[in-house]
Order: sequence, then C-alpha cells, then structure tokens
Amino acid sequence: MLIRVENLSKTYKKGIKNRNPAVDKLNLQIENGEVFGFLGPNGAGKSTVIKILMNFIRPSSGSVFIDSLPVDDPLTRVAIGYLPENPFFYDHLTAQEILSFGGHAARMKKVNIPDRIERLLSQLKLSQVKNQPLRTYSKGMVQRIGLALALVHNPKILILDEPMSGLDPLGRRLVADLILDMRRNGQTVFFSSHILSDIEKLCDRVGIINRGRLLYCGPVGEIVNEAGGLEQAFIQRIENDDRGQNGSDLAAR
Amino acid sequence: MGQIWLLGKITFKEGVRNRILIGILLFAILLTVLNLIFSQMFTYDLSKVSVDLGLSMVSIAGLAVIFFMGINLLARDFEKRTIYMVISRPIARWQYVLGKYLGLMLMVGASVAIIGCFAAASVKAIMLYAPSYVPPEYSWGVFWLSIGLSFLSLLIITAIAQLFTCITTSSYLALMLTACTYFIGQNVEVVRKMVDGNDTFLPLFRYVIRTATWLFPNLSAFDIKTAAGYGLPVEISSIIWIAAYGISYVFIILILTVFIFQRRELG
Repeated sequence: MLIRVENLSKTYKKGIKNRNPAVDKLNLQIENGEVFGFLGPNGAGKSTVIKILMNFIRPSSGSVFIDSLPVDDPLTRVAIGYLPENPFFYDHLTAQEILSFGGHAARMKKVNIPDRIERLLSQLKLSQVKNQPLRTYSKGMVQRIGLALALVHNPKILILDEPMSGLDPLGRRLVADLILDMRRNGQTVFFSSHILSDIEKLCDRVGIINRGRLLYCGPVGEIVNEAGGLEQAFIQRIENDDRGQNGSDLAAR
Repeated sequence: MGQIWLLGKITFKEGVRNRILIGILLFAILLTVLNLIFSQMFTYDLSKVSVDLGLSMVSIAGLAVIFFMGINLLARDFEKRTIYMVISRPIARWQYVLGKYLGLMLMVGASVAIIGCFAAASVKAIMLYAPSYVPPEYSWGVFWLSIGLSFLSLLIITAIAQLFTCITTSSYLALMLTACTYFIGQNVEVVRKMVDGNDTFLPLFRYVIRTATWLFPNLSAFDIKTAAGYGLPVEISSIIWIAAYGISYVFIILILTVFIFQRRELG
C-alpha cells in the first residue's frame, strides 16, 4: 500500500457553533502503480485531503501514511511530486532555476539534474523560455512549469490538484500523456479533477467524495458500467447523498 | 544545511532581482550625493557630520530593504501560496524558517555592504576636500565596526519581521508590528533610564517599562555613530557583549518563529 488514509477527519473552526467536518472519517488505500482519480463537487473535501497528504494542514483525527511513513515526516516528500491547483512561483526566477532548486531539494544526484531539466522542458514545450523570468509566463505555461517541478525528481508518487485547470487542449493532452507515461513506468498518480472525461480515460480507480465522506471507491470500469457513464454515476451518487442528508437534517429538526 | 542553503539562495536571488531593491540602492546613492552637499554647510565637526550622515544612510536603506522587500517576500509565500513550491519538497518547517532567514540575511548584508562602501566613499571625498584646519577626527575602524553593528541590529529586525509574518500572514500587519517594534527598540533604553531615576512614576508603570526592556530589543545599544564620528575609543568587551546580545536575540526569535511555524496550518 503506497498511500494509506485511516479514519481521517478534519474540521475547520468557523465561529463557535459551525463545526461541519471538511473530511469525515475517510478511509482510502492507493496501491503502487495505479492512477487514482479523486472526484467530488466544489467544497467536497478533495483539496483538504490533498493538503493533509502534503502535510500543509494537520488532521483533526486519523492518520495518513505514504510509503509506510507518517506524512509529517519530511522524508515522505522525497517520493512525492506535487502540483497545487493554482501554482505560484517566485516571479524573478527562471524555469531553469526553479527546476534546479526542485531537483537539488529532492536530493537528486547533481550530475543528473541538468539532463532531467532539459528533457522535461522539451517534453513540456518550454525549452524556448527556460531562461525567462516566470513573471513573463502565461497561466498555462506556469501550470506546465508546476508540472515539471512536480516531475523533476522522477517521483514514485505524483499528487495533482486539478492539473488540467487553466490548460488549453494541447496542454491537457500533454498532461494526460505524462500521466499515462507514469502509469507505464509503474509510478503512482493521485489526482483530483472536475473533468470527468479525463478521469475516465486516465484512471484505474476513482474515489467519489461529497461533504467529506467517501461515497464510492473502486475501478472506473465498474462504476461506468453500473450507471452508463462516469458523469451519470457521479451525479447520481452526489444527488442521492444530498437527498439523504437533507432528509436527515429535516428529521433532526 | 543543504536544504537551508538552497532556500536561502533562491530567496536571495528573488530579492536581488526585484526592482524595489534597485530603487533602494539608487536612493542610497542619492543620499551619498546629499551627504556631499550637506556637509559643505558645516565648517567644524565636518567628520562627525559626514560620518553620521553616512552611517544613518546605511541604517535607513537597510530598514527600507527589510520593510519594503523582506516582509513582502516573506508574506507573499503565504498570500500567494508560493510556500507550497518549497514545503512540498523534503524540507522540514524549521529548515524553511532558517532558509528564508538566510536569504534575507544575505540580501540585507549585500545592501549594507554596497551602501556602506558608498557611505565610506562620501566621507573620504568630503574629508579630502575639507579645509586644512578641519581635523579628520573620525576613525575608520570604528566606522566599519558601526556598520557591522548596524547590520546586526538589522538582522534583529529581520528576525522580528519573519516572526510577525509567520503569526499574521498579512504583509501590512507584519510591517506595522515590525515598525512599532523598531521604534520601541530605539527608545526603550532612554525611557527606562528616565523612569528608573524618577520616583514620581507609579511602581506599576516602572515594572511595565522594565518588562518592555526585556521583551523588546535594545536597538540603541548598536548605535556607535558618535564614537565613529569623533574617533572615540570603544571598549572591545562592550562590543563583544553587544554582539553576543544581538546574536542571542536573533537566535531566540528564530526559535520562537520555528515553534509557531511548526504549528501553523497552510491551508
């Protein structure tokens, strides 16, 4: 088991009374070498789970392990490549400098770093602009640099939060190809997305989350066959869950 | 140490390429020219005036670098979430705090070195063209020592700025709190002396002031401009104590910053 989430809960304090959990007793296991899609409507808790995986925020209860290490151990991040939803970088640095920092910080062998950077920049069609400061980049180019930074140390696990957002169709294709490459190489990809067609095309398994609770976790093929498409299956499960919750709210009143 | 150095290096690079830094350095050059003009208005104490202006220039420009650039660089990490780029790597939070501090230290150090050289050049030029009856009373040794102590006091302010940025995450609030600490630090010694020697103040007030002298840095202790300007001797032991005080203060503030930052959520 590469990623193990056990009984994970996270509650944000919003005033004295409002203590709705963003994540509620979530259990999840991601196997080595699989591409896992994390689906859910806005505010479902996807980014919260990812931020806990990256140790940006701490769980209220439960535990999370990556490669058998608890996520608060910085060494877990040697194996992880991460792309946030809206990546921002230091404006005055160049792509080359940022990626060099990424490689060195991930403890790559110094001799391998320049070649790896060149290869990634060429793969992501950024070689022409590698010496320009990042403040001159378009949103799509920044997203691609974010992806290059996540990939520079050839990580065992890639965690992507909405990797397709802000990308044009060509950029989306590039990202999709990279994810498929990683799968072929036996690496693990965990990504959240709203674009269901991408999930359907790229993932081995999906997890559907709503209001912090995992509604489904299993093979993509199974849920697609069950409802006649991922979109229908997704909408059905979310609507059923919302109806159930509204019913229990009324009963509680 | 490797991770801290890596982070320090990119923080320094990001800082020195910022146009604000160039603006501050141009401002310092302008002050050098003003030093040359102002000192022409004095016939006596010429060395005192030029050294005083030159050293003040170093302090003002150093403060401007911290207030307008350093705090912005630190707060941007939280406001724009550029911090994700760093701590998604195998970099521990204490390494992040020390790496950022190292980068700012290099930036402030480079600015102080450049402006210090301009200040020294202006003093040299003024004394070179001064009338022969004006004695060159200043001491280069104490001049450079004064710049060193100014740098140390700026390092204290940098550490305080980093602490406030970690607590508040807002650049504006961190700037206000750091500026307040700076002004209190500059005057706390004078106020304490005034209160200590006067029984008309309430005991509670005296207690508050005495507590403040322990909490806030005594920045006036780092100011030896008068000794530099008149070429007065300085006691090596007192300089060692001031340096030890400054380094210890920075050390304590950094420990506090690490302690707070370890517990912060970066959501």
